[in-house]
Amino acid sequence: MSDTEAEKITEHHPAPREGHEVEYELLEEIMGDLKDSIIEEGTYVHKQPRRIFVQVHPETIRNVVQHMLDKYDMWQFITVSGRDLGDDLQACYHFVINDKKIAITFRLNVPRNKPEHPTISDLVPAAEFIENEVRELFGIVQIGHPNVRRIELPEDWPANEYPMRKDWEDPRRLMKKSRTTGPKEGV
Amino acid sequence: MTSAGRRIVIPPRVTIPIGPQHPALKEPGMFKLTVEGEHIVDAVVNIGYNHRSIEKIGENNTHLQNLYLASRICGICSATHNGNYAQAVEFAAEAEIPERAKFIRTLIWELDRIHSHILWLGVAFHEVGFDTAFMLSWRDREIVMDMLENISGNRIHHDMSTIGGVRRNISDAQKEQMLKGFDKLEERVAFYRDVAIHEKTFWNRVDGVGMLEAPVAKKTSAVGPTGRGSGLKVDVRFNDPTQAYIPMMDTGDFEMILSDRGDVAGRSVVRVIETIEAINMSRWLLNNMPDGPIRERVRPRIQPNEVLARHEAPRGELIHYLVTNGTNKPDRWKVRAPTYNNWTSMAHCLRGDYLADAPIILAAIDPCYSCTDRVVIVDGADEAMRLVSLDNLRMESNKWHKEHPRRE
Amino acid sequence: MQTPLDVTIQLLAQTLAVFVFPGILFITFLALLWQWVDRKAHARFQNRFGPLHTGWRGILQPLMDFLKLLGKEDLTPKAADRRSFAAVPVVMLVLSLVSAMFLPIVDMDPGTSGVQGILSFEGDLVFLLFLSTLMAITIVLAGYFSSNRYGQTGSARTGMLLISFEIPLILALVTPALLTGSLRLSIITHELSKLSPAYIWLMVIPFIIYIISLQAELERIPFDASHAEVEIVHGWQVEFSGKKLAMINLAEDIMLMFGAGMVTALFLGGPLLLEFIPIPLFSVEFAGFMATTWVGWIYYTLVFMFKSALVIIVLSNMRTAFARWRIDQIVRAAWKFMVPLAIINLVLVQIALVYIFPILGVV
Repeated sequence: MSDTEAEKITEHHPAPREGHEVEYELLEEIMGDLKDSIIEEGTYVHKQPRRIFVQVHPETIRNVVQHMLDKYDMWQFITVSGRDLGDDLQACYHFVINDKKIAITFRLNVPRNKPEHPTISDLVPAAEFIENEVRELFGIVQIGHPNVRRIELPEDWPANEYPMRKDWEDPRRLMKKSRTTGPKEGV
Repeated sequence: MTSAGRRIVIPPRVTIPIGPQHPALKEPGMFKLTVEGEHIVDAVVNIGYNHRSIEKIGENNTHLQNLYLASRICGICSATHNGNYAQAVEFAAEAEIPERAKFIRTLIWELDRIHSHILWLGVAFHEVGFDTAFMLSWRDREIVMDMLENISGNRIHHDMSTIGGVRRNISDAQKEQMLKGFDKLEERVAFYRDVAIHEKTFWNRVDGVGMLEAPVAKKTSAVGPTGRGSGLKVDVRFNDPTQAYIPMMDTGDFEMILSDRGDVAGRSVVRVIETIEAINMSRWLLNNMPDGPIRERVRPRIQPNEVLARHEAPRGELIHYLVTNGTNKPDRWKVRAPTYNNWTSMAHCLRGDYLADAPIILAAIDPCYSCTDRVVIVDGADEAMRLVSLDNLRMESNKWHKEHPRRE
Repeated sequence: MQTPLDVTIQLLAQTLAVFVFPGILFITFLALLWQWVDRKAHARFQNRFGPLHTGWRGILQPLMDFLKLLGKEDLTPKAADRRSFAAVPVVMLVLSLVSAMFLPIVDMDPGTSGVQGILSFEGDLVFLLFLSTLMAITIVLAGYFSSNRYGQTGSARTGMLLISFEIPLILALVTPALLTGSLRLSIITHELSKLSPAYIWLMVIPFIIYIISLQAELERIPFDASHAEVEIVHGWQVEFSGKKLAMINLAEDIMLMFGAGMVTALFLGGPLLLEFIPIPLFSVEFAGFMATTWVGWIYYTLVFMFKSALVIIVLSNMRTAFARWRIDQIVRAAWKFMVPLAIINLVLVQIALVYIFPILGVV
């Protein structure tokens, strides 16, 4: 537990203020507007130019996205990346604010035993496919998703098997059997 | 068709599947079209026939191995995946690479764009039955393929980028050869631009077909030429330049190609003119290439970091979200290929058009299925999972044929 | 006074004519040869080589394709109407063969004037049009019998396409019939060759209309929306395989050969070439010699083949130069452009015959 905490902290590389004035200005504006939704830890301007990472409370993601859509016309949706942090699962919603040319990521942590958060697919239709995919691969359930269906996995994939989680063991040892990742057993 | 007979629908609605195997698709994908006569009234997009588990494999590989795995995500835009992964790792390591390496990497990206766009043009001609232009444009694509082979050693998987620079240098003789090739290529592409615009039978097939209005394109986050064909200013080369795009954009000689038509014709024109622009960019890169080393050593263990590397692939914006954890393997590597975002708008484009337009509309986003489906191991539900070898498959088919004798 | 021996010889000769030359075997040979010419020309226009390996420059490739298809597995879909499904290729092949037998390739009946085909009677032009319509209906049925959605869409398109282009096709044929006052193919060819050169001007528009309509009848680019392999996977042909597909392909080739032959017979002067040179040596003596001796058979055949090959190359050039049209564009083009043009042409021909030619003194 403590290892992952330590690791998580070192992952973040806040940038110095000079050279990143625009990003800091935007971040402070957002933090002022959405005080209740944002968690301070994990919210920073990255050293790489034009990148902002924001940690939000999972239940407020809809408000955050709606606010951003209204105020900054943040229409360009990139993708959702799922992550497995051990006790928590994380979904990173990547967006681009096209007017300011800044890529902004909203991260939300959901507990592993109850991985649920509201969907944004009805606000951002482009997220429909990828939210389904994250649900399949990480088991993060988007409550209120308008069109729940299989995207990547076969239709008859067993329930409660989420292959992209770190602790997922392939029950059929397919990865071990395959030619590329290990010795192939007799067919 | 219905036995109830209460509800009479004229003409009857028929569901026509395009895919998973279909001559219009070069890779498996499934589009269920509900048609009334010739009109498409509904479309359902279903993808995911080609899982290769690349992200999961990538978590067990070192960064250097992943570089080559990334380039195998897609055959056509292999340089972009390869280069974007390399630049993501460099961002994470906070390593600066030599200027010349940046120029060569960008040059490979632009050459990749040229060959991808000409390939698309040929496919588009083929989808509307204009096979002559298809043959001729692919013949002229060989010019750029030869260039790529000349400087990287490979036709398809160039693998030029490596962590900290590029693998091969470009000599003066190669530069002269390429500059000569660009002249010919530019002339030919200008010819195809005129063919596409002035040839009536082609233009009639793309004009006003597959409309994607700017508000819808915004809502569905269209990227690349699909978005630019609807007038959206989405081009990472201009909005978020990296590598040698930074000095290139500082010159101000180049501009984003936009079209406000919003139909397949708009996307075609954007692509063709972008090819000419890419040729000019390549020329600029060759002429302004600085001297110096081409590679910087980067330590294999990358510090914990998270980066979002963006790059304009031929099909649109390509994202590599890379989380490193201090070892030489990534903690999480997420690839978002451009086609993934363009699927969402597909159903909207198809609705209301003719069945005959379906192939060209599908082709108009330049879909790359294998880029899109790269996530998971395919595998059946039964516990006794089998890996079927070719011999077994043949045996099974022989058995089937024995049990089901020829139907006369 | 005919002896039984004479009758037998005559019967044998007629049988030979129907089955070997210029009958079924020759027609098949010519159809496969035209397929080769078409493929080769199409390939060269596209900067490709085309068939290369079988025979001289791949000249036997169509034959090899045909033989290979004969040996392939023959599948019938479970949902298909099996008897009708099996009947379609045979019917198509027979219809196309019968149509091709009307072509005036060599003079089968020296007694009457003009070059007669194997089959020839007064009004055979109407009968040929009837056959081609029957062919269209067979194609439409073929799609429906296969009970495949692609097939059904394809046959619906074929129906629309053929209905649209039958009319300009027929109207284009009216002009030669009008000029000669006959509905018999051989008479039309014969009479047209005797008309004065001024009449060529009247034949230009019908010739163009006929060539375009022919391309549509044969379902080739730009009118191949009913095949359209990228949309509906070869349309009505999708379920046919093996022997059935071989027969259908052969029938299509024969239709191509028949179409080119009709152009030759009606607009390009049939199997006559040197006879048109206005010198008595050619127009009288040479023509008489050819019409009466066996040398004429070879000469007529070669001239006919030469002219047909030219038509084939024109057709494959059309195939090369255009993209595929959508079915609605095809139908619109037919009804908005081709049919009015054909009707206007008829009016023009009438005006020219009644008012203009008498003033100019053209006989």
